[in-house]
Amino acid sequence: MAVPDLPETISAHGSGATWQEAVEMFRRLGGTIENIRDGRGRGPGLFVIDSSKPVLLRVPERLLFLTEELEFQGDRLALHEAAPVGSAERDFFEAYMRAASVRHGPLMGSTRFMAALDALPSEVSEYLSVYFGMDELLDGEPDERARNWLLNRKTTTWNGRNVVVPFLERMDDAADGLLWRVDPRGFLHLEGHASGELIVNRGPRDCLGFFRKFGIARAQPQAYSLRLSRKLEAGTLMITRDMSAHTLRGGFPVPRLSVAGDTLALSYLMIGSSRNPRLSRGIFRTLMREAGISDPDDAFDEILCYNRRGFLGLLAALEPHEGWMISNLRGMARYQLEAMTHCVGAREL
Amino acid sequence: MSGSANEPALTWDEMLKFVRALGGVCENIVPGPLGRGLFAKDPEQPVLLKLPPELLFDIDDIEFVEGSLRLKAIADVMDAHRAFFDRYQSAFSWGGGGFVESAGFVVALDGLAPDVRNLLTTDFGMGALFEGDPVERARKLFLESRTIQNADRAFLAPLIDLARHSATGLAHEFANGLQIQGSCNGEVLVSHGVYDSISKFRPFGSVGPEPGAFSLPVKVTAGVPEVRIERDFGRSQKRGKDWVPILEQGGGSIELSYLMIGHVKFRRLSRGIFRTLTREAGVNDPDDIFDRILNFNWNKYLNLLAVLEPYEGDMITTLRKMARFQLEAMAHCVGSRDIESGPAAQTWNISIQ
Repeated sequence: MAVPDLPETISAHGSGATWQEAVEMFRRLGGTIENIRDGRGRGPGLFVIDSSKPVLLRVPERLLFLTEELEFQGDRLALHEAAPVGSAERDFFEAYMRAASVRHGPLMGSTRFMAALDALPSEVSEYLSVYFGMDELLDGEPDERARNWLLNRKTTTWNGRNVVVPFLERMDDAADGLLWRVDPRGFLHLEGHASGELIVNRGPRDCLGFFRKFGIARAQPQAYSLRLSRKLEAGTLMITRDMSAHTLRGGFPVPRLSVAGDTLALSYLMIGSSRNPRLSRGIFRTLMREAGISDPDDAFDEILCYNRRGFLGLLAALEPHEGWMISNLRGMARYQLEAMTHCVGAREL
Repeated sequence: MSGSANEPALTWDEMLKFVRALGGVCENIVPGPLGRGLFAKDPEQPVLLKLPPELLFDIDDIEFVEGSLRLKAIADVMDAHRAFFDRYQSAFSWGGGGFVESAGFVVALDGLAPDVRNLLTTDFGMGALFEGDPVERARKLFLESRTIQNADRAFLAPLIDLARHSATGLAHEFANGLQIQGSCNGEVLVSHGVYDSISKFRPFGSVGPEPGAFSLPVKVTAGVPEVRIERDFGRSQKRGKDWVPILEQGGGSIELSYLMIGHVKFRRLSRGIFRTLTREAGVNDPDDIFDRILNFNWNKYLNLLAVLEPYEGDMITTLRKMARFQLEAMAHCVGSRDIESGPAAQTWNISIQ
């Protein structure tokens, strides 16, 4: 819906001079932001101004900030003093973060999230640590964890490196969100139609991954296996969860398979997809047969069984307890199991 | 002679004397502290409980009269057995906690939120648990949970009906009556039949892990022929060493009397049975159909968990467990193994819930 009385890009509602100032600095440094305003949906976010027109965000590479060059100063994200960033870019980043922090106090939400995790019953924490490897959310000094987690939430992977992308980092994430790309001039380019809050698809993620990154349970179209190692007839199969390590086969991303001695390593493994229910088993069959495994279906079923039991075990651990985080974790487990149900038949690649 | 409210309540020892006088045997068994449940007096020694045919009471011969469960006047039962039955029911079974247990189950069900009741009715066929007079429902549940069926005969078996169910419990042995025997590590658990978590919940109101899971009724129309799955466990046959459902074919469809979709011990059997039976019936791609049936069942139970999510309480927790135990059994569906092909060699003679 059009909002005719607002400026072209950013809403004046409560934004103050600093927000507008950050937008203007962004443009002066070569960035483009059109038909987008600041606001609040399920959390702080960005919204379309006129839904009959596309939104456009173009971010030059000089305004993509490497996470390794960032640090928290108080509750605000800032560039290291020694970070090799030009003064104009540094000024923009500071203005942008000042506007964002003043308006939304994002670290407070992260601190609350860590407090809720720390309040979990010990058997639940242990389960999350042992089965799901969530140590980064559970171990260590709470403020440090909150900062690290907040930074991770804001991170996008760009050419194999982790960066914070202004404006994009404020958008909600969903599998059916807008996809960004690298345009011919090397800009991060996000364009498309939206009706309300801007949602971006930052990459393939399952419910477990979504929870770890954003702290909430939300249904995802696919599920990926937990990390595991299993004996096969001719060696050991290891599965990790690096969804960025993939190749394309027949237009579909498939995990990287590496062989070292008698160990097969898959960078990740999809075990259910509501969009492509036949693909999970099909990918595994193809890769395993190429690796000389004669009965991949058995191994795939074992992997499914392990994963299902893992999430059912979490539901069992949560059963006697109540509370927001308990319900949140239950939702995560349920959504993950639901995504796994979409594994029907097999298609050859 | 008949038992009545005027008779003094039987003690356990008096009841055992009664049983023995009527030809029964009960060795090394004592009652549990809280109503239902039997225990080994000496856990190091085996237990034995044997009831002659005259101590197995046909369901058709019994009736509820006000607060009592007794034999009908027209029942063809000797006076001594009638007296035993009435006093046993009054002291240990219906009157000894059975009514309270069943009525408590009904009250808890009636306390569920409407959306939960609706889902249990539409997706899990539990409408009968919510409809009708509460006392009548409690009576029906009590009988459902205690009735034993052998061939065409449905009956109550005193004492044995006090034992709680476990899939790994002592088996019913039918030979000139009914007996259970064997070693127990404390509680005398009896396998009253083949249940999955949902069919166990229905009469007993309790949940616990069961080794197997069976599909909800479902019709898969994606392929030719159409495949229908029922939940009639009474129709079964034996193939080699494996019990399998009856497959009926006609009118462009096939129907399976039931379908196992997971088993903790026999992980390869669920898909193997389906593959074998449906291939014999001319289905080209049974794996696809089997996966769809799995998908259907997983989604039903996960949806139940979703609907339960906003609620708390004992019955909510029980239903959560029921769904989780069922899903846990379903998770154990790994690979496939062939079963013996060919016509049925034996017909199952035990009807189960």
